[in-house]
Amino acid sequence: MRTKLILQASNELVASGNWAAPTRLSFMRATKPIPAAVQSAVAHLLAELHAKGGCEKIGLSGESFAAILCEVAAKYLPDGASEGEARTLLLTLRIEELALARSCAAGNNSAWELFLTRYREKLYQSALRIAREDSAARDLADSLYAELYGTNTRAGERVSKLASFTGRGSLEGWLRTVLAQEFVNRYRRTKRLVSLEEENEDGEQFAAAEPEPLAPADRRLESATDAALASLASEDRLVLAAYYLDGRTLAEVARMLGVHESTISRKVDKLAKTLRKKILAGMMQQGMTRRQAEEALEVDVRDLQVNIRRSLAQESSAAAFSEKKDGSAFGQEIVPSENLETGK
Amino acid sequence: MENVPKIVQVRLQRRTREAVEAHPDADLLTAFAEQSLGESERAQVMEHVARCGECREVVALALPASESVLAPSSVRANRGAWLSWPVLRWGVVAAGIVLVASVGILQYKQRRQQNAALFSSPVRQQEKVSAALPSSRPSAQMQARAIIPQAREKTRQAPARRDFSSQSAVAADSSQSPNAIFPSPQPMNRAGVPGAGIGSGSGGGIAGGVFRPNSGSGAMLAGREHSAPAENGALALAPESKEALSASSQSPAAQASAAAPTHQVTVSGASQVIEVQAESAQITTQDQAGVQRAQNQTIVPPQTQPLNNLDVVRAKDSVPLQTESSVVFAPTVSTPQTSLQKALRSLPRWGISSSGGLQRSYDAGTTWEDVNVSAAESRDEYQAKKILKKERAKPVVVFRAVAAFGPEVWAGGSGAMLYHSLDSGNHWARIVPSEANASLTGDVVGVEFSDAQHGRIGTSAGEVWTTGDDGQTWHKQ
Repeated sequence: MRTKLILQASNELVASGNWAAPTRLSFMRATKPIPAAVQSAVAHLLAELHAKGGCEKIGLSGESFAAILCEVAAKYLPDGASEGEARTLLLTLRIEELALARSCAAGNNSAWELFLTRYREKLYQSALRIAREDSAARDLADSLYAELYGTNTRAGERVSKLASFTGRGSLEGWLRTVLAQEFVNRYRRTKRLVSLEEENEDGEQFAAAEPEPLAPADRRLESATDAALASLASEDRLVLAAYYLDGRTLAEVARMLGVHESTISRKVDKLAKTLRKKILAGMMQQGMTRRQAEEALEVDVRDLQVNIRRSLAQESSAAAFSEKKDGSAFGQEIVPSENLETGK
Repeated sequence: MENVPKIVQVRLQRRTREAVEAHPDADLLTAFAEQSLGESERAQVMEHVARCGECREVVALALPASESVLAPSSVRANRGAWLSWPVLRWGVVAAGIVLVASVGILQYKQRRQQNAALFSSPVRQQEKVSAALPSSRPSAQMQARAIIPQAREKTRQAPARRDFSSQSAVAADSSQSPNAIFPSPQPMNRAGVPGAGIGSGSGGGIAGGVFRPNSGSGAMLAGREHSAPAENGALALAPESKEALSASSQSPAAQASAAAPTHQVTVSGASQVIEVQAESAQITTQDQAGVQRAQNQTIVPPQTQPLNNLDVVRAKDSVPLQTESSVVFAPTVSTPQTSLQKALRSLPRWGISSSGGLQRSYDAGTTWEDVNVSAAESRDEYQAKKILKKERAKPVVVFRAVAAFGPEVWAGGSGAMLYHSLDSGNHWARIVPSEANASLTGDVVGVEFSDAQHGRIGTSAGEVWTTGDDGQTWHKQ
């Protein structure tokens, strides 16, 4: 009963959340007709992959497995992809885990048992790490567990979330990701409520604080900054956002990108310097003297620090997130779209 | 960590807010975090995640527990760290330093080897000689101890030796025949093998060999002491000399000489006698003399050749050969190794012309230049000047013996003249060996330096002077 409630709640979340809709979309995209290249690639590799995935043991027939492979390949391959690309994709899939997940989704009991022995423990551990709190973690894990089993029926069929697993990453990682998505949605909902209240209290003040740097004199600063940011590689922007906005630690950013922490550390340093240089150059191009440009930047930095202090003082709850707060609380404060609306 | 300007964060957020495009599904995010996406897909997801704070958070939250995933990710991280530019550039610097250092060391070693070849070559030759003449050692040692006084008795006791000396003279005569190529070692060896002295000629030879005097002086010595029986013997036995030569060639010493096939000894005339004797003497004195012996492949200046007959004639007449004879000290020739020859080429060979002039050759004996000793004579020695004046009354100093050790040259001749040069004969100083009230008298007929410090001088008066400190002090024996 309780799980059902949770599920319903989460479904609502999914329906209203930003990321859920695209997930649906991509899921639906899977039903589009299978390109010939993909079909032939699957036909070529089916026997090999079928054996590799150990599909026999978990009761997955060759045909159904072929259908799964076709669906996965068609989902991720761009239109007009060659057969070679399809093969490469198929060969990089986590075949065994894919077979297991899909077999579970199809209701195979032995597959389900195997899944449980392998992943149940990990599921709860991951939930605990994500939620950082026992009861919330249990909630999170339970809801996902129910979803995985497929308690909700549609047209009399049990639909498991495992059916959406495509084997691009590991099943364990996928479980963690799904858990994290779930958690972010919940967290955002509760957070949104809190921040709405807070905004109601001092929303005007907060909104008034923002336009200040957007004064006409700073238009040039703005555009220069935008240009500088746009000139960065997406990975660099990811690093900047994760570090300065999200308040991730260097180690976390490094693990997100699969590189060493020291690499990220150097990169952040370098990025900060080059950004400053680029912005200054951009502003000077637009007719500001160097001193003016530097002043504009300095003023902003001071503002930022004030804002950080204020947001830190206001958001005692956010302190649970991360010790290093420069910008993170600030960022999370503004991200919600309500803020946008009230701001403008 | 450096802060970025606030505007950067603001604009980053603005971009984030604009990111309304489709979120990647959980599979793609997982694959992204696990670095298992293809390039284009990864770029797409990266772009989205860079904009989308939610996906960033999902990815960050979904990071595996550090322990469980550290194994693979740390391997990747390590590899990245090692291949990353900061590490690489220090590696490049280090590699460069190592390269430069190794090149430098190699060069240094090469130069040292060259230098070593230059200066240690006599020693090597000595080793070679001693190795080549193992069988002749015992007798050689015996003879080495025999030196001059014993030589007398020996010559008396063993008349046969005169034959040898005479043969050597003959060998000198036969220098134009192919057998003459190895004339010197053979007679000496024969003299050495019997263990007796070296006859009159050999007596001189000892003096000459050991002290590197002129053969003539040696002959003179012998002649004085033995009333020149050698010359007579030489005359008498001249016809047999060839046979003796060939016979002697079978003696171990002959083999030794054969062991150094490159010895091109163009010896001529009476000088041959001296040479031969010198050789034998050197063999007898073995180690010390051996060094020089190897180097002393006597090459007689071409001028002496016409005099050969003269010499022989004089020998017949029991006239001391000294004046015409020439002992040649040729440091380089003997070794077959051309590298050594090259290394030694910078050092001249020393010789004495048939007229008693000091000569040196920088091209292994092909051409000879006269060395004027008095030109660069030391001026501060008063006595030397006095003697010089006397000397100048005479036409020239007649040199009879010359010895060289590296750049150091000792040359002695008539009238107790002894000259010393430290720079291969460019500058000379007259040395007057003296001890207490005695000083060197007579003609210097033999000069031998076993190394730069220790040397002996034999005189026509039968004196032997030794020094242990490069000629600073002398002792009469």
